[in-house]
Amino acid sequence: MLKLSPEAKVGIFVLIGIILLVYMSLRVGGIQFGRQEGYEIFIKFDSVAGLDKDASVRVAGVEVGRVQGITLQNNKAKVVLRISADVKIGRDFTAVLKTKGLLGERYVELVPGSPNAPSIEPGGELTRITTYTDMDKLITILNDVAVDIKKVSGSLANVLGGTEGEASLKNIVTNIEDITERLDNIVKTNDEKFGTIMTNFEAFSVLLKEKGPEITDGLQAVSDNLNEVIAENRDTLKDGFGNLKAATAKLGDTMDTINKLAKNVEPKIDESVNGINSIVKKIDKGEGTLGKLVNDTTVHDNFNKTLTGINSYLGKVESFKTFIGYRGEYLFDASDTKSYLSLTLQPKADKYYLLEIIDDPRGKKTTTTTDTAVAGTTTTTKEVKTSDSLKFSVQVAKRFKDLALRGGIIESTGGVGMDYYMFKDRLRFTFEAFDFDKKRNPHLKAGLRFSLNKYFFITGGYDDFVSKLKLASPYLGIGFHFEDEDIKYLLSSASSAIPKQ
Amino acid sequence: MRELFENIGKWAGRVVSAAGGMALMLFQAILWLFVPPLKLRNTFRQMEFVGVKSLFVVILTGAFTGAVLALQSYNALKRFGAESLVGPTVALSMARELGPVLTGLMVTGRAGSAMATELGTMRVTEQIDALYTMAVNPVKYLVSPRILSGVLMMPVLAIITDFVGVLGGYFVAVKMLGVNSGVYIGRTVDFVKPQDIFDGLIKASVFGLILSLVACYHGFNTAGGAAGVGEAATKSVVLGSVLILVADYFLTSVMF
Repeated sequence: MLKLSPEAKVGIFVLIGIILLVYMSLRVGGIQFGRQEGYEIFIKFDSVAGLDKDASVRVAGVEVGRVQGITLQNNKAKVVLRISADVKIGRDFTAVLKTKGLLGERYVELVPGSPNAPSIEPGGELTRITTYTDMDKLITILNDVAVDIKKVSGSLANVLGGTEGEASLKNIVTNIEDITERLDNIVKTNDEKFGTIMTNFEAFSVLLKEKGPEITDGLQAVSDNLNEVIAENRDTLKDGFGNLKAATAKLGDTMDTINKLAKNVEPKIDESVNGINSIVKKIDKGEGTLGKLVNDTTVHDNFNKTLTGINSYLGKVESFKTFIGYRGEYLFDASDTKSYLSLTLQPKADKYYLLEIIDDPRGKKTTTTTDTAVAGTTTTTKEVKTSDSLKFSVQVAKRFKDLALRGGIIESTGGVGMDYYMFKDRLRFTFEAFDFDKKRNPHLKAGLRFSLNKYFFITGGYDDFVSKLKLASPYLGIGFHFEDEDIKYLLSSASSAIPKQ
Repeated sequence: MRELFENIGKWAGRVVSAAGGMALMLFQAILWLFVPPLKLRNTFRQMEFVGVKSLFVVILTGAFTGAVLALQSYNALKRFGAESLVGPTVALSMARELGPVLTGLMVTGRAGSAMATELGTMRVTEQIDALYTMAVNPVKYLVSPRILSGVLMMPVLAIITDFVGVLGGYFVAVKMLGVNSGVYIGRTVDFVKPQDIFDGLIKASVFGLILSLVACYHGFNTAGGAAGVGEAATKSVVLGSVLILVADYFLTSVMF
């Protein structure tokens, strides 16, 4: 065996020790030896609790540097990072304080942004910061969630559990019981009636058999008499038929008018359908937005807000009332009837929207000027003709105690109106002014309306009383109106969510 | 009664004079270290004795210490599902405490006792007196190389103990207990910092100084023939070990 001097042995021994030391230091130290290489950037955090000097800085989990130092600056923690020279940190990187495992040490994760963003120059600041929830925050949030869930279950319990819910469930069961009972009754009663009917038939057929010849004789006599009557009144009958014919012709005219109307309306319906189509398509495209919404952390808060909003909305819908009405006014001077079909939308007790379709027999005014030359002098005659036309009213109304003011479009022109209510709303004085025209004076209309009961009312007054076209006419009319819940729920988009009462 | 107080007084006097003697010897040894001619050959021989020849015993100690640490910490950490922390536990314990301390104790037992016996024998056989007569300073010739070799060789031994200990722990944890090897090494690298290892080596160096100084002092001041030599060896080992453990506490409190 090779004989080594003590110096050689010690030398080898020390060498082994140094190699081990260097190896271990390099392994555990990471890039620590290259510490002064690379460049510095800094980040300002609100809190860096748990972050130590020399904590690692990672991009996509790969260590790219170390925390060089942490100092307090304007009550914010300024963290200086030393990043290896070969790693570029973009301006749109986001700094996140993360924890290794559940209880491990903290480190700084830099989340990359877009690949094209310019990189931070040495000594620059990274401004984008995301704070991840730590355990405390997580627990607080979980607590909030639990409270919310409790609220939801509580309201469910209120709806189904409370005395009210119980009562309504009971009502439903009672109603079903009632219905079955009635059905049963109907079947039973009809059974008896059927029996009776059959018996009657039997008796009748017996009677027919017995008294058949007699009845035939009687019928013969009746037809003879009829013949005589017709012969006597032949002329009168002829007139009657003529009248009938005229009536049929008039009916034909009416049908034509209706046809024309329908044709006018058809393109508009088409347009509406197209509009709805495009809206539906837009909603379809909205899927992306929905996805974003769901991923957003603020969804929880928004959801809460939305729930509150829906609650208030439901409340509004409950106070929302809709009325459908019709009234006809007979204009004495025109000897014709003006018809109103109205839809009242009343979101609050003191506010409503009034939509009306009016068939006005004097709606269209055509002025014809005729020049007649008689012996050198020209006489100009103006003639105003009126014809049937459909008009629309869209009005907003606000009620102050007994006085309601409204305005908007009245009979397809701008106008305002006023209603004064008396005797607990049973009697109403109405005044309207619309179709403002200097030449003809505005169309003024005043009248009274008296409610006979909840549904029917009579109305009367004076229409267009300052008209220069001599269209003034007293009128008298009758009408009805009723509250329609279905329209209300049709109009409120949340129709399916609202239980019918 | 008077005897008791006399004994206490004597003991206190011995402690104080021993401390003073050791400090004086250390001062002289350091002083003579820088006075030529340098006794290099003597120093290397001591280094070989303290370092190279202690290698085997230190490797055995380190390997089994690491292994048993892994076994114990695995059983404890398994209860928290933190088996991945076996690696850091072994590595940190070895680097900071057990590497330097166990090496110090082993070297005290092996080399410290040998130093005391050698110097004691030289003292009782009047070889040290002979050195004086030959105008050779016995502190320069005998003590300085021993103290230097202790200070220099202990860190080398400690780093070997650390490494072997981590290997032993790795063997037990990964090969026998089934901890994932990547996790073992990864966590170890995550948690252990170079500073941990360097501080451990400084400790080892201080322990080397303590054990060689104590051994030299007791050997140098041996009296009473063969029995005195044996007593000097025993005293140096006991005092050396105790001082190493006491110093370890204070060093740890200062460093970490």
